Amino acid sequence: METVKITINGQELTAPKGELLIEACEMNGIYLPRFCHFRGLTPQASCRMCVVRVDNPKIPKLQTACTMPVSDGMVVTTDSQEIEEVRSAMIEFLLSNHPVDCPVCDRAGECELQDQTYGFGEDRTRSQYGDKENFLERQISPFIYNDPQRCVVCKRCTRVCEEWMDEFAITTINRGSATLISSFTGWVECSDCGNCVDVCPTGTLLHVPYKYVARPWDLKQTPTVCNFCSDGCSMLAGSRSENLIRTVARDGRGRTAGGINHDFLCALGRYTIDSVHSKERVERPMIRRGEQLIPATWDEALSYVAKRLAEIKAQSGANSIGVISSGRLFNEDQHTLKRFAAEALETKNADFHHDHDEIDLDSFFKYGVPTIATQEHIQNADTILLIGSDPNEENPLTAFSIRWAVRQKAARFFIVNSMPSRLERQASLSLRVREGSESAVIHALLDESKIGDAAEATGTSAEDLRAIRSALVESAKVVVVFGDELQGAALESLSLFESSIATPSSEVAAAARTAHIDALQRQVKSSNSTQKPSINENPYTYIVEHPTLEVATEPVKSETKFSFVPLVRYSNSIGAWQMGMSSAISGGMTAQAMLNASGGGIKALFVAGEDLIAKAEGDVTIVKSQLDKLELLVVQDMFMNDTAKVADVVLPVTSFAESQGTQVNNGSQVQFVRRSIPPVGQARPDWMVVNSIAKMMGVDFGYQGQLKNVFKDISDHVAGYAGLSHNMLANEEPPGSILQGRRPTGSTGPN
Amino acid sequence: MYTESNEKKLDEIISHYPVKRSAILPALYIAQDEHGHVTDDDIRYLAKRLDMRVNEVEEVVTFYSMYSRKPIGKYKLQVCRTLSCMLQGAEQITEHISHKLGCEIGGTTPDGKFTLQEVECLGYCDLAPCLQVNFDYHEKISTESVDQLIDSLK
Ligand code: SF4
Ligand code: SF4
Ligand code: SF4
Ligand code: FES
Repeated sequence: METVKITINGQELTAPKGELLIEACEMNGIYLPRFCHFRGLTPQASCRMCVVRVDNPKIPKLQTACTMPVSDGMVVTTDSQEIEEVRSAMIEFLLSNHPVDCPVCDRAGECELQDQTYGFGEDRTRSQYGDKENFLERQISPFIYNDPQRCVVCKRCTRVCEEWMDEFAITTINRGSATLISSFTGWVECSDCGNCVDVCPTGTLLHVPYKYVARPWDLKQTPTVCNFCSDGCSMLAGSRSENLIRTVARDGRGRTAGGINHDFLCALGRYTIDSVHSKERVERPMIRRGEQLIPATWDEALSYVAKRLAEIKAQSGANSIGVISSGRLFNEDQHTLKRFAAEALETKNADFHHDHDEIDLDSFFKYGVPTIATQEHIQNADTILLIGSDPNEENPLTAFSIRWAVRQKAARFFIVNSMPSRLERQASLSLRVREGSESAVIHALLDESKIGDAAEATGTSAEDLRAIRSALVESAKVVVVFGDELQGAALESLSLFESSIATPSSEVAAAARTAHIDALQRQVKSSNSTQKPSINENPYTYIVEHPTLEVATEPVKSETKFSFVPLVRYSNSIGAWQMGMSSAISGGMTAQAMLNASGGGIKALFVAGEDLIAKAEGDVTIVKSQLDKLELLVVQDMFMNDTAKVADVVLPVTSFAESQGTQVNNGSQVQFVRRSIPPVGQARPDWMVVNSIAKMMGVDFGYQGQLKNVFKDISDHVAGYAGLSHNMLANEEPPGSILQGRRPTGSTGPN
Repeated sequence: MYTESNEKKLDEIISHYPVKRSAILPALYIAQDEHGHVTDDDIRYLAKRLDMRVNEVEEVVTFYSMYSRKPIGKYKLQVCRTLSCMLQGAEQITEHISHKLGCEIGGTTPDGKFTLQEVECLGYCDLAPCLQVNFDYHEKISTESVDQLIDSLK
């Protein structure tokens, strides 16, 4: 990085060339007050709080540091009487309409307006209450509350909505002191991301579910990781006594959890946390007696499960038992479940539930492992190809990163999808293809001669496909973001992109390409005709081949041209796969196959965290009747869902907020999730429950009841995890420890 | 949506600019001409015509005092309230008009003839105080001259 020398308040400092003065000061520990400036948003320069005097080059008037890039030899004064007077006058203006009702304001205690008035303003006002514009507070969306009189019109909220979310759902209405944040109809219909509320430096925009619920100084803030999609955003979980109250990407004091998402969160991460305290939570273990599930003690329930499983194993054989986990469970849970299946039950049938709407990772990694792209890769890509998925709905952070790349880095962005997506507004070219025909496009990209076929199969023009192909050939850094629409051979061929498309188009390369494609076709044929190619018996060596596993602290600087984002369905689908909780690795049945074989080859199912009935693809009654045929159905889950209702034993487990563990996001980053509240009811962590049952069946995993030993076991046995520990992951920054201090350097906005 | 001639005018205006949305200000005048004020439907329609979002159009309409989102009188009286005019007694004149018409600042007379507004600088500081009636400027006004003016408009 090129740096320049600048002098601030007589001190000689260095700063990255071209950096904004306000940021350069902050990097050097000098905090300049601001309202409108927000890292990651286009400059606005309306609040004039950041004014400084620039002495070299000499500029006659005070300048806004939030719009001034640093240059070599720049001499700046950030603090003087003249500047103090301007700031204090600005504060007086900003407060001239303010109701000064901090005692009843949710933001008080973490309000930038409060802090800056305290730091830079006067303790009295000349404006009379009667002079103030009077606006009534009101709710403007299902999640946003608006008290317009507290607004300083910094427009952070409207810029976030436009630039991060591409919604433009809120805007400024009127002007001058009558300006307020509203919309055409007055009611806001949007993605409900709540980012506008988080970035608001005042108490104008407030979260409806958090309204009058707690004071920020009463909250314990735990940096944790969201588990509602596979992006893996870090967030601060605010709890009071035993309750999870809110989650924010950034609190009003500018503290963030320092994750890959910087200041971004989406509706799921922010507003679905009430599920943690839902009435549907299972509070106690339950055993079926006839028609009813009767509460039992943990001891009763666990020993009952252990006994029944042992009986069924003895009677019908180990492989008559199946274990199914959810892709949401942590690595520690998956690993323990896998060991439980292999060592205690001795069954081959262990699978995380991924039959439909999930990317088949076994196919994706079949012929080698391409570089997995992190959010940082996406944000810095030259060209992005989105195929077979809509991250705007499923993976909002990925959608944010794509918008970022297009807006900030002028990335070229192509979409190949059968469904409409709001991201089309950002695309240089968007192809709406026939449902299920996305795969044809992959083949055409790999092999130019297939373009004609693909155009026909997809119902698009060969010209468009050729345009995408040549963009991929020309670009230096390409990120391919794909979803579950890619299947089979197309999914398997992604790992050939690097060798087939990235090599320069000399004759040699062309020959190499043909050879690859031939090989691919042979492999595809063989994989179609026979079963899966034999996979090494030992799952751990299978995983050794995946060098892309990395810790989030060190963003991969990939040398490859292509990198990929598999938009897997669950927060830890990749982790489940890495832990070997997959039928392809154990050589047993898939979750769906187990369900189909219920009552036949399968006599008992142990289901952890997955509602099989709700996930049923076709007829629900078929799934129900399949489950009915089982001799034993054990469900461990947070909720009394439909599957739990028909189970023989229900075991209550903790939510992500009540347990710790690691999960792997779609960028292949291992993240540590911290516990923010104690367990609800009698819930126990998944791994602990399974560990106890195994023990009762006479198998000891040697964990000594400690989670860190589970992870030790993982790092000893799962290659790629070698050398990692909870301590290490938890103390890394980012993601992890809460950044202390007023405005942590670089904590706001991706850059 | 508009009369044929207004639609033509709109097409013509749009053709003047490299980007459609740049035509928003003159386009809003057409809307206001046609309906007396800018209606919700106008906003939706113009957003579509100019490739804008409804919120962007709303933002522009409410920012400028020359557009109105609600029905207004036939004559819009806008008295400048910025420094020079204020020093020259604009405030008293506004109050005078308000009494004369029996109409609050920001309001419209019951017969729908006059709307009275205070506005920021009209750019006539050297000829303060200044009053704008629809698109006409009246400078160096006094209570007497506005009386005359209003009577002549009746
Ligand atoms: S919640 Fe998100 S999408 Fe909705 S108005 Fe706020 S920033 Fe925009
Ligand atoms: S609502 Fe908040 S973020 Fe939006 S302009 Fe007002 S003070 Fe700024
Ligand atoms: S983008 Fe995904 S990980 Fe991030 S807050 Fe939303 S659901 Fe959670
Ligand atoms: S922060 Fe620079 S003008 Fe607002």
